[in-house]
Amino acid sequence: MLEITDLIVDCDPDTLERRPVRRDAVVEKLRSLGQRKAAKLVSRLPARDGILDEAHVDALFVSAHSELQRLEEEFLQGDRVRSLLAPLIEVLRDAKVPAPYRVVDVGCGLGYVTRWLAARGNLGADVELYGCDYNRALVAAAAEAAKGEGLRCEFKVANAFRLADPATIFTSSGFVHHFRGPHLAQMFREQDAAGAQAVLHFDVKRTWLAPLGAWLFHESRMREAIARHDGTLSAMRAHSSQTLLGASREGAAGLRFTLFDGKVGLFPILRTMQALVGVRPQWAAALTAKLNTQRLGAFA
Amino acid sequence: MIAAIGLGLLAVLDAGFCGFRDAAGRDRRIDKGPYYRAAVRRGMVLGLLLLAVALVPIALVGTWADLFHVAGRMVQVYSAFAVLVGLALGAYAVSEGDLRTLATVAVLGPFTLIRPAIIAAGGVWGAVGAEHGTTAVIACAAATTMIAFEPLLSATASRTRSRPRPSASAPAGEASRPS
Repeated sequence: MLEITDLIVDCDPDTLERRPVRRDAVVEKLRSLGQRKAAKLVSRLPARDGILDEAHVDALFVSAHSELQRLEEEFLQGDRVRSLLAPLIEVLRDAKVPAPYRVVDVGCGLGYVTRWLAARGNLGADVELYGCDYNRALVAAAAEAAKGEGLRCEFKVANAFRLADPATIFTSSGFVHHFRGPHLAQMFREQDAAGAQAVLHFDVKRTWLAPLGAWLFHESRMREAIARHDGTLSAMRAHSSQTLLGASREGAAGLRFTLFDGKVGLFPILRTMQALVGVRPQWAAALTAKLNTQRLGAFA
Repeated sequence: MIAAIGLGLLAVLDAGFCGFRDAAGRDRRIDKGPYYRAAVRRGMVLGLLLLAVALVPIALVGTWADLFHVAGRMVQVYSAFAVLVGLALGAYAVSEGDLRTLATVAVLGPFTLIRPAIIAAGGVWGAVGAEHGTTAVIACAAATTMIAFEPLLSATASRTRSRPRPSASAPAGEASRPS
């Protein structure tokens, strides 16, 4: 099954230029997969000469991501990321890794987590916060929101793995499940090749209760039908622990990986998110000691 | 009398929550305290105005004793719901991390979904206990108004919000839906 928002925008991966998307092609693709409701939603989007209206799609993305920010606020996503990021930065500081520590949020959308960290993270003056996304409308809205509150962070339309000033730490929230099959391992390979000291990827935990919870939550909180559809599907498409660890270890041989909150209990309603944590081998023991919690698995 | 006042207070409180929900997910700032407080205030003020306006015809056509009796029955339903929501909000406010998630996933989210059904159930429960047909109609009308309040609030607020429109020459999706 595919998420609508993965199909209605297309970018050239090298130039990041937007490519026109044919509405009929998206509708047919969704129908061929048996996703009739999704096909119907896309068929209602405005198009000109069969090409989806970019201004409308952009507005839809900004609107849906604004609603998504509310979910992140309710789920304390900023706090959640900080709880792992701050100790990780301390480990690098303790080891005298040269500053600045550049934290890059991959697929940042409206950059809620980056902006939250800038506003309330107290990560230190030696930490630089960036958000990267391919979507120009989202990046522009993120930059505008940061500027409006005078926050010390930047947003770029860029491939996060090919930045001129490479990342020290890659983070993401709800991003990893968009990569399927061989693309997942490739994504980790690129982060390894980019020279990151660590990666922190948060996503919905795959459990039997997650789709129901996601459906309830999105039905009650989201106004955009496409956002409700994709939000629920995200929980269904969440990678299993084995898939995440397998792909990350296969793709990024230079990093050691484990999961934070990866255990699935009998009634998995308390910990709905998990984080894939990857570090260079020399930081694994120090981070494990710093966090000192059974919620963190063993690095391998 | 006390039940009627309680019902009015619950209605205004619910209007405040409507204001919050209508404002949520629209503003991208990190610090949204003043924004949300203004939204709650707006909902409560509009709810209070609506209540005041509605009291005039109610007073003209209703029978007070019957109205108070019906209000009491409605409060039975709404107060139980309000207590559960209050407990979940309390848990959300004082707890951290996982318990907050539990409060919002297990209670606040689902309760937002079932709110219209609860309001309707309270209206019906009140109407069933009414002695006069007029009172029953008033109970149903009050419940319908509360259900309609949030969309109405949203519609009035949307006038002040801007959202980019599709290009002028792009036809609406329904009109150009592929066969």
